[in-house]
Amino acid sequence: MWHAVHAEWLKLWRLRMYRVILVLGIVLSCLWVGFMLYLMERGAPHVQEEVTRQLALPGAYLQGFMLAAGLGETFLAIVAATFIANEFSWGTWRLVLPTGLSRWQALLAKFLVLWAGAAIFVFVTASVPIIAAAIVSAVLHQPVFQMPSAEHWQLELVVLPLRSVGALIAPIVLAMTVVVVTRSQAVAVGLTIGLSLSEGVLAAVLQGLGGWWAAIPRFFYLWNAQAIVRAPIFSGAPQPGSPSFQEAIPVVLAWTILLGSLTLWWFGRRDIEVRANA
Amino acid sequence: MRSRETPVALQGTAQRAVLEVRGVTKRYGSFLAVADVSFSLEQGHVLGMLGPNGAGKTTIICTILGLVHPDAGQIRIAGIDARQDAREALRHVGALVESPTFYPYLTGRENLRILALLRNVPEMRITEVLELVGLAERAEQRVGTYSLGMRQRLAIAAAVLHRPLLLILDEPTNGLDPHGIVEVRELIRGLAANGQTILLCSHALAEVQQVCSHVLILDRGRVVAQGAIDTLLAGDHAVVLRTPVPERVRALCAMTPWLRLLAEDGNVLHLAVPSTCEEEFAQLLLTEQIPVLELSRHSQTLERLFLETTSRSGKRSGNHALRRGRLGWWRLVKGQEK
Repeated sequence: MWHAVHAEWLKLWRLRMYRVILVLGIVLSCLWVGFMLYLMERGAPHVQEEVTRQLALPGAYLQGFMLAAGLGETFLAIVAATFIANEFSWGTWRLVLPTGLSRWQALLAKFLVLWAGAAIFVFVTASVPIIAAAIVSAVLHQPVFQMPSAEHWQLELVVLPLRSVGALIAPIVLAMTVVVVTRSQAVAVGLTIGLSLSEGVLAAVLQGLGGWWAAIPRFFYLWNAQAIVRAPIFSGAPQPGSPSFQEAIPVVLAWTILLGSLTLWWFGRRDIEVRANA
Repeated sequence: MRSRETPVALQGTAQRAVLEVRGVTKRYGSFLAVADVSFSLEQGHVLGMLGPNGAGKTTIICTILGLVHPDAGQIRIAGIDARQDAREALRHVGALVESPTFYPYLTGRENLRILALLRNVPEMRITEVLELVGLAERAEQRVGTYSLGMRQRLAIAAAVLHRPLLLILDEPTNGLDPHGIVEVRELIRGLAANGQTILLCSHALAEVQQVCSHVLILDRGRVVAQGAIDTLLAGDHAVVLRTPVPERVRALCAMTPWLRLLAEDGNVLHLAVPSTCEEEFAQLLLTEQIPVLELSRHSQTLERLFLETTSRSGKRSGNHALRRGRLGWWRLVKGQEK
């Protein structure tokens, strides 16, 4: 199994799209820092105060990981869909599966590698605001840490990266499922990004209707995955209409198990056609 | 390309079946792709699997490799049930299925490294197989830049990477230039000479006849002929005789029980002469003082056997029907067409 994971890692790391997305994460993170610096310079006094707080720790830490998780949801869905759809379009399943690698191992190895790739993306992207915070503090001669309360900071330091990386399971699993069922990269990317953009809006509409309609969004996959990153764990209430961390976790887990099982079952029973577009 | 490959020997008797396919059937909806196909391949044999396009050759190969799930039947590789324990069974198989497929953004060496990881093969072996197929100098280039011939060579390198007991080659010379075809043919011959068991699918019938010890002919998903090539091609020979006295030869045919007139075109006669009676036939011509302007023997070839066996059961293209017409006399030799 670990040989399969190693092989998949070779494939992912050499995939140009993945490396482009890593660079894109860094660039967008730099742009966010640039915008914050602009607001710090030109914004209204209360905005300057808020921005200064966000460009120090732990604000920058929090913002960095949330930004990385937000970007990762779209980018990793694209990478996951491409990574698996390529095997169908290039016909390379018939290169690796006759080695005796079982189908569930092949998919599990891909999932683990994509998740590891997601973790790298999150850490690389989040590192920009954190490094920027240290530089800005040094330039402005202000303390790096500006904490109104240090009560949960140390715990959050550990939990926030885990939440950010963990929440990216959802777009990866969804993209994998759609590709395996449809064998189409375009459908997988379209559906995953479409759902990630529309679930929040749909949830607001359904909650606006009230009654049992309002209960439906509780079962949304990507919306709950987003809540895992954004919902406060240790203190404070979640945003109105948004699920709490404790509510989101079981929903995301249940969907992940359901879609994962469906993907493995579907892939295990299907025939691999001898066709290649490349 | 050099051929110094020696496969790992199968434990037990030398003639133990490396591959056994029993009653394999595969349907795609209402289309019967493979119908109750059975054959076996013993160690050291080279089996040529032949058939027109759509005959089910690739489906059978995909079934052996676990890419396609058969509806019925059993496949054993080196005595291991490939449907029950695919991982262990496929450890003994190296395959090239139809057009070679690789990750185009990876180099040739990286593609082989992925397979080496999955097969648990040492890194050193990659260099060996790259040299074997003559790709060592281009190994660091992306496969996307390779020609079809180079990909074909890389696919052969991938197939022999782990020194498999059974090598499955589906159209290995596809897309190669004449030099490449000769090189691949030599490589296959070299592998076969070293005791490599090979299942070879090819439309190049002359090539199959040269390389293979056994042949399996499929038509519409069914086995229509199988056995050792020598056995299948043995039998009656057609003799073409040009003589100014065809009427005397016709009379001779009426008198001689083992001599049959197959066809006549002016003073050219096609005669069926059993291989055991060839000397007797020559003696008869001398005794009867029949003037011979031309006498030649037409032996059965794999191509004729293929066309004969695969054209029997259904409609063919115009080109195929034309070839069939030309070979009508041969079917008379075999006594299969009235």
